[in-house]
Amino acid sequence: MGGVRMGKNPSTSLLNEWNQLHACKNVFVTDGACMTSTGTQNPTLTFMALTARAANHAMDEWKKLNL
Amino acid sequence: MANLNIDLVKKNTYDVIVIGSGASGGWAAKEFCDKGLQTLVLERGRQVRHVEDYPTASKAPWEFEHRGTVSLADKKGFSSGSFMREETKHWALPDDEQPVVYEKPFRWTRGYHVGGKSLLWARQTQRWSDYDFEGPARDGFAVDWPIRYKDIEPWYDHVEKFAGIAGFNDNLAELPNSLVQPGFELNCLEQHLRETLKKEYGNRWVISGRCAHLTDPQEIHFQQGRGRCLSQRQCERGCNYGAYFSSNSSTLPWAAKTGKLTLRPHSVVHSIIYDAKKKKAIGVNVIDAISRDMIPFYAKVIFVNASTINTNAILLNSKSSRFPQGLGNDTGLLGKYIAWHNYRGTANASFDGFKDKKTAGGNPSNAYIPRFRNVFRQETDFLRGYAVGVGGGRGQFAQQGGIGDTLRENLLNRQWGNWNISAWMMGETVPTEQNHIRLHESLQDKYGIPQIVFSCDWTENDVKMVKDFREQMQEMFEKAGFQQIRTADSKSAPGADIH
Repeated sequence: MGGVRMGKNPSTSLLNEWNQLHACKNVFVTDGACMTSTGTQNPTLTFMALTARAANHAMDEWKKLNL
Repeated sequence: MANLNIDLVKKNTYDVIVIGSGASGGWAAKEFCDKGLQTLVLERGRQVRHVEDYPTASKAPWEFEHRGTVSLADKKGFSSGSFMREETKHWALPDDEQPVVYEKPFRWTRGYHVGGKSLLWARQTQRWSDYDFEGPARDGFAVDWPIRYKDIEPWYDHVEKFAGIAGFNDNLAELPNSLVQPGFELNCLEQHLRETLKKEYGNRWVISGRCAHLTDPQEIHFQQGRGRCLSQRQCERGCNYGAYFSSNSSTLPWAAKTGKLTLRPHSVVHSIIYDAKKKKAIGVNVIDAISRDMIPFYAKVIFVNASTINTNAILLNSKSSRFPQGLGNDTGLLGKYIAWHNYRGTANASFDGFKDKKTAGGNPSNAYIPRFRNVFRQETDFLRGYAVGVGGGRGQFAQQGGIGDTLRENLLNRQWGNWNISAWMMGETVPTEQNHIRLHESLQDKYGIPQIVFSCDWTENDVKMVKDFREQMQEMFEKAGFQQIRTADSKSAPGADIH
């Protein structure tokens, strides 16, 4: 997991809180690569929830023409 | 010619492109198609249609030519042992599909077919809690997560309702309740361990692992064409009943029904196309795995769900004048801080009791002990902790001796053996900058894409955690009165967890 981790600060992370690349907002990463840490749980449920969350955020932003 | 190009661009333009058709890619497709957006899902492997492309799902043991074993001749070209059984060989990946460079040993499990690893996963679905999301900030490693449990909670609900989760409401702070259908009961030995640990520790809970199986399908599941789990425990072959959640049984056919989905197998993504003037990504370059042509596809939004390592590799390979180190990689951090789960520790024991009890049917889940180390405060000389998978059972055996009628009698007269129990650790590893993947400078695969270099290794923290797991399991099994307790450290290469 990881490698394209989420975080608040663009200088120490790749993705923002909605799984958008800080530097290219219309690209979203919502699989295991986004994981800042791994937890102990099998992570798939969390990837799926992050994906649904990010997809709905993308559609909200779309309506506002931010993408 | 210009007109032709415009037509081609128009033909290849969608609202959204999703790279990858596994568990997360399938969810992206479902959400976008539900809202009426034209969605292109790119999958590098072959098509796998639900039911019709599960060739072994309903085969009896004697219907396999070699009773499951794959011949040496058929193993040629597959260096990984993964899925090397007659029952599951259709999921195995030939080495020449994507050679990689292991600078340090790594075990990379890939699912290169429609549905990806959602057809290969263990289907365990425990939620995260804030003890997980707050971990990096509290313990001072990595960076702080930008979200907390309350941000993801409604989306866990959303996914769980649709996917269907079997389990119980365990009411634990470290493992929030899921929206569950009836769970798979613990057997008597697992129940005995549960009662022992509750009495002896008060903070170690043996529960039924929550899993993405339908035990009481609802209208939303019937609409997906899915049915109840029959506990056959042949999940890894593909499930004809759609009883466990996969992209193939659930999200992809759902998305297809909207008429908005275009699923394109044999589509190896080369890179994401960045337009410096528009300051955004405009599409994806795809290599058709059959024709080897490079074909661009365009969209307003791109979701990258190619699985951890490939998602990193695609971004690293998406170089432009604006992003010479890979898309979004202004800091040089892309591909770094790779982490995984530590499955090195195991424990086994037997139990001389419950001779009047036996099991009936299979349990497609397993017993599970949520993390109990360093949850509420730091208490050991290593950071974080581990969950434990537990499976107890009682096997049958037959005397193999004799010839003729005696042998026949022996084989038919099966006896119940002792109860046995096994446990396996699922440890959190702490991401470090040194543990990374990158693209090789010159080596390429058959599609002309740079090979991936793996440079990931265990840390001292992981080794200490394995030692603690072994000590704690020894102690817990002793308290439960188990015999022949054996713990082990497989010292396996990182990556065995498939995540």
